[in-house]
Amino acid sequence: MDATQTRTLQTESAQSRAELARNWVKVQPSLMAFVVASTPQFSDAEDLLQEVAAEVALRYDEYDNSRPFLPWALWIAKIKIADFYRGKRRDRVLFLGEAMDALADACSRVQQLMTEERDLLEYCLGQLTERSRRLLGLRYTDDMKPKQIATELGTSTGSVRVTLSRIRTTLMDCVQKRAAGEANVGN
Amino acid sequence: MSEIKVSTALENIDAYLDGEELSPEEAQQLEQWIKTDGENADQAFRRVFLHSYLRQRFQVHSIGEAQARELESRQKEPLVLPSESEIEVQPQSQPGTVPIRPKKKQKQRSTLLTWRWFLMVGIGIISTINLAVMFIKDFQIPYDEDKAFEAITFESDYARKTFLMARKAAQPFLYEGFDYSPEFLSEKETDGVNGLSGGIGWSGPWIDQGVAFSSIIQDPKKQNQGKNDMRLFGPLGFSDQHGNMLLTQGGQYRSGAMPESVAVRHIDLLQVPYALSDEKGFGADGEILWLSFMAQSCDNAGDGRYAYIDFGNNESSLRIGKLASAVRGNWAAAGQVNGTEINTASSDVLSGQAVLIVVRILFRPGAEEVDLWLNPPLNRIPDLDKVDLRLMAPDLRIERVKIVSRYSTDFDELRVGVSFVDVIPASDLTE
Repeated sequence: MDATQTRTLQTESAQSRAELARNWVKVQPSLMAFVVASTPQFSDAEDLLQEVAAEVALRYDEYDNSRPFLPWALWIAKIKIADFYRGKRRDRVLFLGEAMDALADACSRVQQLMTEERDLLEYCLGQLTERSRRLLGLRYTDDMKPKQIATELGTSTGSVRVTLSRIRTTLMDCVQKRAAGEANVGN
Repeated sequence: MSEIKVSTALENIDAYLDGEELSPEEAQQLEQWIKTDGENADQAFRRVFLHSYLRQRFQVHSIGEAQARELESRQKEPLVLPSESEIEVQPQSQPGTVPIRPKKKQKQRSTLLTWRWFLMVGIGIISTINLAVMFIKDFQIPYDEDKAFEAITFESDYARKTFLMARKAAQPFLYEGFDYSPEFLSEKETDGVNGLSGGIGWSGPWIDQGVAFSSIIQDPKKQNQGKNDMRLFGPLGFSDQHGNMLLTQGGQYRSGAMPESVAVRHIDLLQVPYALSDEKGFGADGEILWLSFMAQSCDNAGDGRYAYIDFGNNESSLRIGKLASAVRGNWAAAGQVNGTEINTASSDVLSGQAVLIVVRILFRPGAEEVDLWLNPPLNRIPDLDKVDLRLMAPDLRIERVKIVSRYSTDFDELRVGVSFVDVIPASDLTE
C-alpha cells in the first residue's frame, strides 16, 4: 500500500469516526430510554448502554448510512438486552417480545419529538414546586425506590408511588400544553 | 383480559420503572396495551423517556444552583410529600414567554456535590476512552468476520466437482427421518412418539412432555383433517427447479394440537464433532453448523398458533416453524430467551405450504448469526447474499431438540451437520 492509499484510508476512517460520533449523540437519549424500558435498574441500564455503544462502534462498518441510524442501533440494543437477560438468568422480562418491538417502533417514531421536547421538559421541571423536585431528587439523584423513600419520610409506599406518578403526569401535561402553544402553565 | 385505562397503564409503567413488582396480570395487561395500539406504544415510550431524562438530568445537570438550593433546604427541614394541589406547576410571572434557563451562579458547592462532579466526569472520561479504544482494530474482540461474511460461490468447475465429491462423503452427525414402520408403531406400548429411538446421534429416545400427543404418519392422503388440510396431497418431499430430489425415508412426524404437544430428544454430545464443542457445550464460538428439515402445517392459520422445532436448551434456543410471535402464520424463526421469543423473522412462505428449510448458524461470541433459506436449490451451496431470513439468536448451547405444537403440523428429515452437503442428501445430480 502506498502513502496515498494509506492517507485515503486514514481520512475515510476519520470521517467514519466523526459520522459515528454525530449519529450516536443524536440517538443516545432515545437508546438510553429504550434500554431503561428493558432494564429498569438504572445502573444495569447504564452498563448496558456502554455495551451497546461498544458494539455499535465495533460494527459500524456494517451500517448502511443510506438508512436511518436509530433502527440499526436499536437492533443492536435488542441483541445486547437479550444477552444481558441470558447472563442474569432472569425469569421474566416485562417488555421483551412483541412489546419490546412495539416500543422500538415507538422510539423510532417519537425520537425527533422527544429531542425537541427536552427544552420544554427542562422548563416544566423548573416550574414544579420545591417539594416535588425534592421528591424527584430522592428518586433519581439518590436512586431510592418508593419503599425506601416511604421509610425515609415516614409514609406509605403507595403514597410515594402515587405522588411520583402524579408529578410525572404533571410534567408530561405541562410539556404537551407548551408544545401545543397553550402557554397558560400556572394560570 | 380486561383493557386498562391510559392512567393505569402509565402508573404501572412508573411502578415497573421504580422497581416495583407488577402482578402477572398487570404485566400482561400492560404488555397488551402497548402492543395493540401504536399511540399507546408512543405514550409508553414517552413515559419511559421521561424516567430516563429525569435520571440523567438529576444525576448530572442538576448539580448546579437549583439542586444546591434543594440540598440546603433539605438540610434545613424534613421533606413531607407534596399534596395533590402542590404537584401543580408553579405560577409563571409572565405567561407565554419563552422559558429562560436559570444562569448558573459561580458559587462554591458542597463537598458532596464536588465528589459527584468528579465521579460523573470520571465516568464520562472512561466511557469516551472505551469508545475510542473500540475503534482501534487491534483491540476488537475476536469475531471471525472473514468466516462470517465470506462469499460462497459455485462458479468454477473445480468448485462444482468438489461439491459433488463432498456430497458423496456427506453425512449428518444428527439425523431423524421418522422412519418407523406401522407394524412397529402398532406394537408400541405407549402413545405418541414416546420411546421412539431411531435415527443417529441421539442419547436417548423421544420423550412426550405435553398434554396432547404427536404421532408418526405414513400416508397423509389418508390421514388428514378434512378437505381443507393442505397436507392431503401427499407425504413431505422436495425437489428443486433442476430436478434434484431430497432423499427421504418412511413416515413423518405429525405434531399434536390443542392444548399443546411437546416432544423432546436429547443429543449425544459425544457424537458431536469435536470442533463444535467447547467447555460450555455444543456451540463453540467461531464454528458453523448447518441443519435442515421439511415441514408443512395443516393450513396457513396464524394469530398465535404455533408448531416449531426448538434447538438449544431451556434458557436459550432457536425456534423455527410456525411461531406465535409471527402473527401472519408464515414460516418464521426467532430466538428464545427464558421462554420469550425475540428477534422474530417471518418469511413470505405460507405455513400451509410444504417447505425445505436449510439453516446456517455461525456461532459467535455473544449472539449467534442465523441464516435461513426456504426451498433452496440443492446443486450448490446457497448464497449468503440471498438468504430468505437472517436473525441474531441468543448465545446457543444445543443440548436437545424439542418439537412444540398447538397446531397440527408435519415435520420430517431432520438433519444436522457441519456443511451444507451434510444436510441436503439428494439423488444424483443432473448437470
